[in-house]
Formats: sequence, C-alpha cells, structure tokens
Amino acid sequence: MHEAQNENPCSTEARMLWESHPDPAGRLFFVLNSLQERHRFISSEAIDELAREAGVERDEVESFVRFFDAYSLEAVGDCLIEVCDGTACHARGSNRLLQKFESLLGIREGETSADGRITLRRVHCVGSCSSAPVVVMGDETFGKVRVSRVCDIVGRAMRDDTD
Amino acid sequence: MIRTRVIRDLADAGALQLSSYPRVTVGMGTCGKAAGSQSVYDALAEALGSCENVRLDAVGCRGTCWAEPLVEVHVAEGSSILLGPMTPFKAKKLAANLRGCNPSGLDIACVTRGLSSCVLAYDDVDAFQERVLLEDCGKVDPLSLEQYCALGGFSAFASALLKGDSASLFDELERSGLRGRGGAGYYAGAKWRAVANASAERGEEAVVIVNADEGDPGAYMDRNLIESLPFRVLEGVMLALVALGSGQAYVFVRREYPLACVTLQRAIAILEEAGLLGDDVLGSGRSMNIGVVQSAGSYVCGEETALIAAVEGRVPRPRKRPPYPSERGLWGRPTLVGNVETFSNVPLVFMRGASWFSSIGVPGNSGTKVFSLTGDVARVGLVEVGLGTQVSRVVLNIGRGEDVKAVQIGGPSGAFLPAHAFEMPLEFEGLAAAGAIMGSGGLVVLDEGRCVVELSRYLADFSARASCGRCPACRDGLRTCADLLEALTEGSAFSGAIAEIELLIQRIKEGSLCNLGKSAVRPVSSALFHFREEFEEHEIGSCRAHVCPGLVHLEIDQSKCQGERCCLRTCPGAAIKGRFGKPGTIDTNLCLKCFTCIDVCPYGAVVIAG
Repeated sequence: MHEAQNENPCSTEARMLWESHPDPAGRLFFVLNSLQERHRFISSEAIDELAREAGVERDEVESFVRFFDAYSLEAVGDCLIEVCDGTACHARGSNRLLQKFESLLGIREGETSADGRITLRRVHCVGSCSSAPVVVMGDETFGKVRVSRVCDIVGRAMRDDTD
Repeated sequence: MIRTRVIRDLADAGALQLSSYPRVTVGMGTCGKAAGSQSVYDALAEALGSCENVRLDAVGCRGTCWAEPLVEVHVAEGSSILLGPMTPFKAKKLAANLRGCNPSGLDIACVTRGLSSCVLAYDDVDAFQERVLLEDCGKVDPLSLEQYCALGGFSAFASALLKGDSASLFDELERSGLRGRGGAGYYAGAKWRAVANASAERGEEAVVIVNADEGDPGAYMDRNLIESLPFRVLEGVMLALVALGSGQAYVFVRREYPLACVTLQRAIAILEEAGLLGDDVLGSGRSMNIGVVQSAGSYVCGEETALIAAVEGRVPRPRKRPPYPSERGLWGRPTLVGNVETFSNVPLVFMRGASWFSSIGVPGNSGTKVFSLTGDVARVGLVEVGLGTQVSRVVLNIGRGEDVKAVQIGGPSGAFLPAHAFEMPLEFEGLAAAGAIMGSGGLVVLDEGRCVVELSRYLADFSARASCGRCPACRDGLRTCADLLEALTEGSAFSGAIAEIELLIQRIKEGSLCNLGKSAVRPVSSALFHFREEFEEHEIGSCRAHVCPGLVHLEIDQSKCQGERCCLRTCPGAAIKGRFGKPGTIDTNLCLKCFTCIDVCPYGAVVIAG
C-alpha cells in the first residue's frame, strides 16, 4: 500500500487475484493458474508479491512454480501443441509424432518457436486413451493421429497464429 | 424441518424429461469429442431443429469408446437402440428417419432404416460386464440435476441428513466392504470412522478431499465418472460430510482434464442454486461447501500427503506416514482423502444397501471396478466387472485382444502381467501376491508387436521425471535405471547392464520414503521377471518386436513396392532412392527412422527389419 503509485502491474494483479480467493486452500493454484492462462508465464514480480502475501520465503513460491509442468517462467506461445505420451499413446507411437513435430517446427519438446508463437510440449496422459495417440492443440483434441497428419496440424497452428 | 420435498420435485421433473420419447442422446465426454461427437451433435441439432417432439441430450460416455461417436435413441420405456460409430451424414439420416416416423408408434426398424451397419447390440457391447457405475453414465445429461435425481440421486443424502445418525452410516459402509478404488484398497468404512474418531477426540472439524488427480497414464475412469455423472461423485462427498459432521470438502482435479474441471464447477454451482450446498442445506441448519482445486500437472500429487501440501500451497513432497491424513491432514485437521470412484460408489451403497453391494464381487473384494482397457485390443474403452473377475475375461472376452503378450496393470507403480498369468482374478490380495497391483485400474494391453524393454524404459523415465527429488535413491536411482534401459533400447548397453538394473531396483526399494518411490520399480522388476530373455536379447543388440529404433532399420519390400514414390517425396532425410515404376531402396545411413514412409505407403511395402 505504501508504494501503491509506482507498483509493478504484475504485482498488483497477483495481489488482486490473491485477495479474490479468500479460502487459503488451493489459493496459490488459483492465482498461478490464472496468471499462467492470462500471460502464459509467471513473472518474477508476481512470485515476489505472492511470497509477500503468503508470508513465506520467495524461494518457496519459486520452487512451487518450478515443480509443476504447467507453469513456466518464460512466456510460452499463443499456440500450445501438446503431444500426449501416456502409456497407451506411447505404445501406439507417440514418440514418432513428437519427432515429426520437432522436425517440422524446428524446435525440441518443451521449446517455443523463434517467433514466440508455437510451443511444443509432451504431456502425461490426457485421459483420451481410446483414441490413442492423441494431440491436443488449444481446445481441440485430435485422436488416432498418424505421422502423416502432423503436417496438417502444424499447418493449422501456423494459420491460427496469423488470424 | 428438512425439505426432502425439493429432491422429490427434482426427481419428478427429471423423470418427465427422461420419459420424453423419442429421446436422442449423444456421448460427449472428452473421448467422444476426440472421436468427433461434436459434429454429430451439431448435425442432429440442426436437422431436428424444427422437430419439437424429439428431445436431444448431450450425455457423458457409457464406456463403449471403441464405437464412438455414440448415439442412443430411446423410443419408448425400456426400448432403445445404440448406434456407433456415427458420422454427421448418418446423424442427418437418423434425424430424417425420426421425422418420418409416426410419433405415436415409433418402432426401431423405422428409426434405423439405412443405418443397420452401425446398430450395436447391447448384449454384445456389454457382454461379460457387470455395469453398476457405468450403467448410468451416458444415460443422463451430466449437468441436469433433475435427471440425476430421477435415477434416485440424492435420496440417500436426504435420508442421511434426515436421520442425522453418523454411527449407522459408518456401520452400513463397513458392512458393504467397500474398499478404496485409488490403489491401496483400504476399507472405506474404517477410514471414515478413523477420521470421525480423530475429529471427535480433538474437537476439530474434519475436511474431505476427493483425489481426482488421476495421474496414472492409461487410466481415465475417474475423468469419465466426473464428466458423465458429476452429481454422483458429489453426493458421495456430501454423504461423507454428513457422516463426519463436517462442512468443507475439496475436489483436487488434474489440469489435463479441462472438461472434468468445468463440469465439476458447474455441478457445484447448480447444487448451490438448488439449496443442496451452501448455508442451511435443505433447511437442516448445516452448512456444506465444496471447492474445486485445479492442479498444474504433477504425478506425485496423487500421493495423499503431497496432495495436501499442494492444496496448502507448499511444494508437494510426500511426507512420512504416520501420522496419516485421517489424523493430521489439511492444516493439521483430520482429513478424509478418497478417490473419485470410491465416492461414486458411496451413494449406491446407502441407496441400495450394504448387502446388495457385498453381493457383487467376491468375499473381501466386494463391488465392481471400472477398468480402462486400452492398447492392443479391438474394443478399447471403459469396462466394469465385479472384483475377482479373471484378467482373461476382461482382456480377451470383453476387449477382444488377439496375440496378446502382456498387460500393463496399474500404471507406473504397476506391473507387467504376461499372457500365461491371465487366469489371475482381479482382486487386491491376489494381484499383490503375484507382484502386481490393482492401482487405479489402467489396463494397457500389449501384443507381440510391442517391446517390453522399451515400455519399461518409458515407465522408468516417467517415474524419474515424476520423482519429487527428496530421496536420492528414488531421484538418482530411477534416472540411472531409465538411462540404462535407454542404452538397452539403443543397443549401446555394456554387458552387465541387466545386473546393474537389478541392483538399482533393490536400492530404490529400500531407500525411498514414500510408496511412489518404492513401487516405481515394479514395472521394470516385473518385466525382468517375466520377460528376461527379451532384455538379454537387447543386451546383444536385437529387439524381437522390431520397435527399438536403435536396433532396427527400415527396408522396402521389393515385391510389394509399386514405385509410386510417395515415400521418396515425403522422406525428410532424402534417404529413399528409386525411379518411378521401379521398387525403391532406403539408404540406412541417411534414414532418420521417423517412419513417415511406413505411414504414407498405400501398399504397406515399407517394413521394419531387425
């Protein structure tokens, strides 16, 4: 409050989210999920602010953020391609799909394309095992994906970007 | 004065909706959507738009995932027909049939005219199953409280609230013999009682947490129960709140399940609106709240002490038990942590009685279990059988698996069960004695074309990544184990690698604090036990399933190749040579082993050779 005028907007946002979830159970998840969804990364200022609100060391919040696959400390792309690598998908060749995505996008799993638009991730089971192997892009789930279809999905990702 | 009338009114309204014939339902779970059910639904909605006497409902998944998108047409009381896999085109045809039929005298022959190829017989798709939980999945609109009440929903809750007698609830649950469906198989009645005792002793209000962090890859029954019948899960939780005299529950959901998460949040809002949650529930004077906590992707959070730490906002590392969460859980309060499927069974136990429940299954293992059957079977999906049913019945009779080599049961903490052990009954103690576990019920079937060594590497790598990093034996041991297995799959292992892996298994088992670490070696140790010769073959550079990229190369079958050069044009490594009309060849030095050529060849001429 004492530095309200020149407070970083990230800190303000984090504090407002924190205050909007009065129940302490699940509070940190709520704030971080919201921040990750809005900005596609968790800023250092937000971590500082959350540590202050929770009354814990900064390290503790940062370890929490680092612990979970969904949070990132650097921005991920607008378009997130997630290749499911659950047991059923794996047994049906999800690593070949991943390889194909990597070679088409020119990035490794977990990385973001040079223009910062597309991020490729390997995720653990999305629970759609009956249509293995599965690729998730935004709200869309592609089932029974074959290596030859990866090209279409990438094409779509690039088109979506330019809209 | 408790207003049980509310429930009866809801049930009456729901019964009216369910008996509005003809009623068409489309399975719209995550699996249905991945198979394209949205376009089927849209086609039906458009074609039936002006047809007022047909009711169209989006429902959950009944488990018949192999035939999705699924459409069910209820033509009259007790008479319905199941159709799948449907397409938008067939959906339009169905709509036309429905419009053309005489609404007062609908008959199945008329409804299915021109659609006979996708008519599924119930006694065929549900053969060998004992459907209790799945029976109601896919029957009702998941977010229609009226329809859920029409199935008898919330009647058990209302009468428990009316009686207000916790002791009888504990007794009933104990007599039913219901055991936790999350893996450990602890008796639910005993667990509830322990929480109640701790709460009474210390005068602290208990908390209820639903563990919906279904982390085992290859298992999705909890996702489906939440998506298809969220009110049943929530009723189970609310019964626990009544029994424990508690007012607060949380559902901890995986972030990989966005639809389940939204469904839960909406279902809770609907219950609050109807006065079944919130302050003064049904006029009882009691306040009950359920919150949803969405996780952010971590396998270890499925362990109850880690889950509690995460909900509190701490780094989710499992801690030593005891004290168990039933004594000291969330914020130190007595906490009941239960699995989604367990809570889903609870309303049925109270509604139909403990003796009904214990009449299903075998003594000591009562009730049914939902398994998710995936991998190399013709009929992938969710199946429900009484506990004690043989593995062979599920994999071979229900799943129609052929040339099955093994089944991976119980996820990364589970085991490989070879085909010769398929007479094994699916029950807690029997599986444990055979070195396997029930786990949450994931069954991934592997045929002769799958490599056990590669899958062991995959599961070891999964566990190594999932390790919270507290115990060095688990953190470093699993990583080394995964690296050694990777070397085996790449053909670069030193001799003695297998012995080294066995040593590591022992160390990890002894040196890990929590069960996740201790059991993370179960896949590889069971694989070594049953399929040792495959490991030894890898050590000398061969993979009999032709799966491990380092041990295989690609060849073009000269007799099958038509020289159309589809592969040549799509090969990213420019490894394929050939002239039009002549069989091609692959330069193994340039081949990236991306397998695109196998995928694009219309003649199946590209083969993997050992």
